[in-house]
Amino acid sequence: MNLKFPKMTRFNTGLGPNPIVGGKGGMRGGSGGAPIAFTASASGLVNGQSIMLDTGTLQSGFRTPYFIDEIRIQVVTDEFKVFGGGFAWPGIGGDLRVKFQTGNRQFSKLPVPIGLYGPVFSNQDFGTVDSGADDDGDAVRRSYSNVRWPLPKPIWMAPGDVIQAVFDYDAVGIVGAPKPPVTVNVTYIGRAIAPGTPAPDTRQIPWVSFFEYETDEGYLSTTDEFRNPFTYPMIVQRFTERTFYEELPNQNLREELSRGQTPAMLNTNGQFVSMRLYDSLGYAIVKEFAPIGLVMDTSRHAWTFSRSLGAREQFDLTLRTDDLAGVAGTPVAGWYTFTGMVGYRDEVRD
Amino acid sequence: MARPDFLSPVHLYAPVDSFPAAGSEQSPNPQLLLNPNKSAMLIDQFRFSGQQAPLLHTDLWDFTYLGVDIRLGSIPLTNGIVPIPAIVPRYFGFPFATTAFDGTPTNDDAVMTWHLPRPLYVPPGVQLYVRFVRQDVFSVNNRDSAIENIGFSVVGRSMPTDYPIPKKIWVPWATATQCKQKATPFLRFVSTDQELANPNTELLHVTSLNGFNTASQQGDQGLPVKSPLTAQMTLSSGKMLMRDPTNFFSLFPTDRGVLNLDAVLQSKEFVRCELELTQPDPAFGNTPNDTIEYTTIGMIGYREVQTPIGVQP
Repeated sequence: MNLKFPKMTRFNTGLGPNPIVGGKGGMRGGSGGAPIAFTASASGLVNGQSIMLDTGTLQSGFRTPYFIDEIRIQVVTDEFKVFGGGFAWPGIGGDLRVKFQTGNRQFSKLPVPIGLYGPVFSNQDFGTVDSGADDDGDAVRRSYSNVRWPLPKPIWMAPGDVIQAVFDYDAVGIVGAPKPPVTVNVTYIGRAIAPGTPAPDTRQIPWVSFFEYETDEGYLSTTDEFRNPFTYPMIVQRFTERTFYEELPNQNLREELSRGQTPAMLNTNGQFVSMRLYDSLGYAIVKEFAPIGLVMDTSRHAWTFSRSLGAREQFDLTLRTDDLAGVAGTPVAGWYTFTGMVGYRDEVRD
Repeated sequence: MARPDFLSPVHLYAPVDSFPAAGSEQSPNPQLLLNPNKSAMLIDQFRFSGQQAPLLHTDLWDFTYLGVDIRLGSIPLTNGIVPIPAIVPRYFGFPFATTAFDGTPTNDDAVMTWHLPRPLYVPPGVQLYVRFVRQDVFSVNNRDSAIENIGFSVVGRSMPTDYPIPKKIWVPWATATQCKQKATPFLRFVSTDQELANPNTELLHVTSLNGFNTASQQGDQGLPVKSPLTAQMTLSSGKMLMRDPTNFFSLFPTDRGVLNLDAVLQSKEFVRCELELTQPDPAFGNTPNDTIEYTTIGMIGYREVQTPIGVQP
């Protein structure tokens, strides 16, 4: 056996000749630049409310171009209820949605549930909990829910450019009120690059869409949710999936990281969701109905690949509720499966 | 319409019947594992799901005793039956997927993903043969139970129909050794020459070793344990991978249990692994004689072989 050791690579600190804006900062991303991060918060977001975060704090403080590599969202709430040992996750279960755009370049058509932007990185993604007791001895807990979205491609931003974040906290299509107020924190992670760096001709702008399914709908297909709406190709990077459960009618949806997604992990109704996926060219991507937890891989809640989707082409997704025998079971309300499509397209720079 | 020149993702699912008894085996229908788009495909991942029943926490939920044997046509991908924990890494200390936000495992359910070290090219018409075996080697006081609802899937990419067939392809290789030992007397275990081996005629590029240790105790959940277990590995040529017996969990951190390598194993060469408990294991608790530790070590790599001839669409 010949042991070979990986080459030592120089860690790029970004601290080049200019400690603020050093590094190469390639046109299509690269790894150069001085790391930067900026944050905006909104507290007391209540059910039915939309809010745009302060754009003044969501842009680089340097008067230089910069890249944004990653978007992180944290949701904090002091108030949620405990039912039968299960936890409600306010703001998570498809109720808290966000739409990003920079200039007139939108990242999605509609606000997208925050959990669908990126894969799961940890089983702690969706929260840590502080617990205590209030004056009445009831449980008072605070939940922290974290979502991390590494953008498909770094986005080149001109000085002064900003990605707007508009949150929409609403129980659209989902029974389950009241929703407690939440605080959202958004952080953009990026790199400042040297002033005078020529701007690229095009930028890679993300595109995200999603499909909502409740198990009592039995058998449901997408219409145009996973269509490329542009007149030019886009690259689809991954599908994402999240399953939520509404244990009681007045409860917020709670995240179920593995239940209801494979025959080995049935939901409380003894069922799981299967999916079938074709594209508009006739490619069988998932030809036969397969458990969604195997297609999406419950350890990541995502299926990552790279696939070009031509202008106005689309994926056709069908979801079905199965029982153990592999046939459609008796649909029962309360379980929701959200499926997202994440990709990007080249946009001519404004 | 002409097929576009891109690789389209493809997912193939083949369910497997239950395992009613130890020693039984099941195979998914190989027809379900053919690319429905009739072209060649690249396989990136194999995924397994399963459930141990009845839902008792006293079961070992790490699937230590579920083995798999995979072939592409006549080319073996595994060295016979290989326990699944030897193939897949763990996630955050738990063998497989967890369900709860606080990290509480579901105990009985699992989804496991084998990310192949290199994409596996599958010519059109060449079938994958997969065999799951419930091994009774590690049956403990009949506390293992039926494995149910096995799911197997292939994650890959469809290739354009006019894509030229390569002369050679990368074929993954998985092989493993397993042992069990009680607290008293402490056992010294040495793997055989056939276990962590390259029995093929080609060079084997070793990409990782996967180590997994778990304990079974009455009333215990069989959680992965950290014990005073040491490992020492030597090559059949006499070279040492480590000079001294080394703490098992230094080699295989409990969060993922993976030791990444970039090494080459010559044809017919093998790794000999010696495991030893050097002192009483705290995990054995008050009833050491009732507790058994299971250790699984897998070796993952790939080799270059002649492309099998398939059926053109």
